[in-house]
Amino acid sequence: MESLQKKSNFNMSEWMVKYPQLGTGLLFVVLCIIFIIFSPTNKAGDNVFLTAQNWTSILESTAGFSIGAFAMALVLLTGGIDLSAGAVMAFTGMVVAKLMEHTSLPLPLIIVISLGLGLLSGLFNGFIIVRFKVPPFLATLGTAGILQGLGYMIADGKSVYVTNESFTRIFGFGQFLGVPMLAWWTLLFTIIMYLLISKTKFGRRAQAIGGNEEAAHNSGINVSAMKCAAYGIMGLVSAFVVLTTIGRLGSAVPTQGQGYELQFIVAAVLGGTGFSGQGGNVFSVLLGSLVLGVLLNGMTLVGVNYYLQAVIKGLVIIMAVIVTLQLSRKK
Amino acid sequence: MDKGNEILLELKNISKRFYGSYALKDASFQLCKGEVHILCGENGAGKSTLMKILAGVQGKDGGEILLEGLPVSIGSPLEARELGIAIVFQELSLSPTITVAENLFLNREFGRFFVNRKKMYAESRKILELVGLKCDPNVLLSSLSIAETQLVQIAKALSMNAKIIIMDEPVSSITEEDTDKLFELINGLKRQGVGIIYIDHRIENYKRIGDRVTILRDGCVIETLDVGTATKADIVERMVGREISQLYPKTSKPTKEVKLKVQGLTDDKIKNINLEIYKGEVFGLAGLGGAGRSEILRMIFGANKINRSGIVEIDGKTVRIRSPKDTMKVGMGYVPEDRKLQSLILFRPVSFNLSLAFLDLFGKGPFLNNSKENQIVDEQIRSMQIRMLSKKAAVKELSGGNQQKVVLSRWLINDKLNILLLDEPTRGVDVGVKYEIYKMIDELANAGITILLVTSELSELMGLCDRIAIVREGEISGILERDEFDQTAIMHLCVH
Repeated sequence: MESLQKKSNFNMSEWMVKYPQLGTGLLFVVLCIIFIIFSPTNKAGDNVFLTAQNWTSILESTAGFSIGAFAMALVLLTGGIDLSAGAVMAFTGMVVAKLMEHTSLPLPLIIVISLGLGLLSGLFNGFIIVRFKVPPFLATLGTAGILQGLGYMIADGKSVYVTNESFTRIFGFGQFLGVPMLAWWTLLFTIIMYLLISKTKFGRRAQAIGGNEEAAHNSGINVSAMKCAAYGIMGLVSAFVVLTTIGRLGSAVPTQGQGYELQFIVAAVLGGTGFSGQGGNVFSVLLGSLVLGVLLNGMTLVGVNYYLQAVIKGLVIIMAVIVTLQLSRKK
Repeated sequence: MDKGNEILLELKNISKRFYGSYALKDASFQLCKGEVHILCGENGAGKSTLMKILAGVQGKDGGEILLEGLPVSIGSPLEARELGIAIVFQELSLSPTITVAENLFLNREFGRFFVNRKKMYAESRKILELVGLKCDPNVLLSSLSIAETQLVQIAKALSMNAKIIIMDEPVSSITEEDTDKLFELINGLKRQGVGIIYIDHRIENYKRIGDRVTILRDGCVIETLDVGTATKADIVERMVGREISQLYPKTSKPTKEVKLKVQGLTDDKIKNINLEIYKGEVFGLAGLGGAGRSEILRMIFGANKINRSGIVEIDGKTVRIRSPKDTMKVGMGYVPEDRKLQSLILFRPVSFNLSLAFLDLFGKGPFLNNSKENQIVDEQIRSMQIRMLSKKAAVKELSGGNQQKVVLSRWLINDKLNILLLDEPTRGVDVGVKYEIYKMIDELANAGITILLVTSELSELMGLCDRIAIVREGEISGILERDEFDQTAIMHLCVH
């Protein structure tokens, strides 16, 4: 009996190694079942979790996570991590809002400026990490502090309402061909990041660096430049993600983006991205983002207390990391 | 076996299966008191599985282990230790960041709450004396050489009353001098009745140290021979299961055309290196470990970034070297000393590793052309006869020899390759693949490719090279032509 038990476990893990998305997919199904069971019903007697309205909101939040998570997956692939993504969002988000409300600069220029600032913040991370060999989590933690502070200074501690309608349409609630803009953005980034990570020489080299930096160097790969590029892309993408959050909220707050870096990391790790160059499949990361979206939505829906939500989220991170590490060891 | 053939350890019909195929099948073998029993076989023959079972790292699927006649079960490394079985690994099983004494007494410190450092120091001294190591127990382990670290491991085993010591490739990365010292120590252990299971790829060493040799092939014990009467050919033939004719093929002749010229190469490890190497020449670098041979290769290739000066000329033109990219552009390739640490992305597949250095071959612009990559990779796998379960399998799962073929292939797919720097290309590689690598070196040289070869095996250098430069303490102490090759002359230049 005992040996039989062992055997079936063994096969399961074999499967997980072959199809790493399987575990995440399973988690998705399990979460959905739990939330369907515990979800309240509305006046019409429908299960709230299953309403179209609820799923729209799930997909909306998923969109934001996934775009950031793709870039985070790239950073993780190079063996790094970026804890400043949320602060980049706070900083560039505030810049965008202020420029829109207090200057008459054209919108495209404002967007270019904010994306440029995001890129620069990322490159700054890369520079510190490459030039001074500061461990990525410390370097980006420092940058996070700087940008968070700058964001507050620009905001003077106050929120800024965004009244520019074309902005809120393009990045928020607008639709194109009957499909929400947010879905289009997610699609666009899924394609771009898929091509970048899985189909280009750049992506291949990034994977090599996380897997074995020394080997990458000995194969003629410019490790420093590659790392800077990865952090630069992360910064740029963070600056983009905040456009969508401001677009949906209609305002920029100084605490914007707080904790987003963790959501990105969780989504990337749930999508099978490891900490030394494993995984990095964009579609798995998309699935990981969806799981996170369902989890956060469902917990609120069934009335899990906000603080407890943080606890559960933390547990999920740890679990996801353990599973990823186990799988990479099995491999 | 002078101790009256008293059997210390007996393995009976040990089997171990992985994914349905046998890693070991009915393997039986005996170790006597005071015996050095050599285990040999190609990579994947089952040596390491056997070792891991003895060390309690892996369980067995069938068979019996008898220790001094009594059946034992070894369920964990701790149990192995309690039974008196110790392993000295090639890879570090000690912590480099703490002191020698702390390593020796890790997990069994003196004192109840606080470590009694004085006692630990004194005891460490005694233990280190057992293996003739005269280092201060209070230095960090990382400051010792590989040979000294191995001695510390042996010392630790002895201090825990090991009756059986398993040594996995103990001399593969240490100098001849240290090898002599280690062998002396092993002889001492034999006299004390310790049984030693010894694994080594170099058959030359067997006669110097072993009593019996057991040859494994494909998970089966082929035969146990007396080392005294077995010839090298006897052993090799049983290992590979076929006859091997000539060990070093050497047909290439260098041209008169200077291909690579190095002037005044200097950094903190090497001093003023000057070399002129011809097109189609196989040029060897001999020297003790740490003499600076690897650094010379790394400097020429551009892999070392720090404090370098000197000029590297290829075909009479100075190459400005800032990174490996610059030398790769002019057709240089480099196979580093340690393929796992310095060459391979272990959990990625063969194709990923093979194409890594020349992605530009697989499509212009930023995108990779997968079908083109597959085609070139397949061709290379075929021509190098790289053996693996599947193309998708992680390179980690390949045997050492096949991994090395992947590393070599990485450079061979570049048709502009004209200088190949090889650092210990046959280390940890089984006999069959060694011979294939020798043949490949000869073929490349015949095709006009210049080869700079570093290896710790003198016979390899003498068999393969046109000239050998001897490196001593970062300087060239002599260059010998092929007709001047002589083991004692080379060793003399290495040391004095």
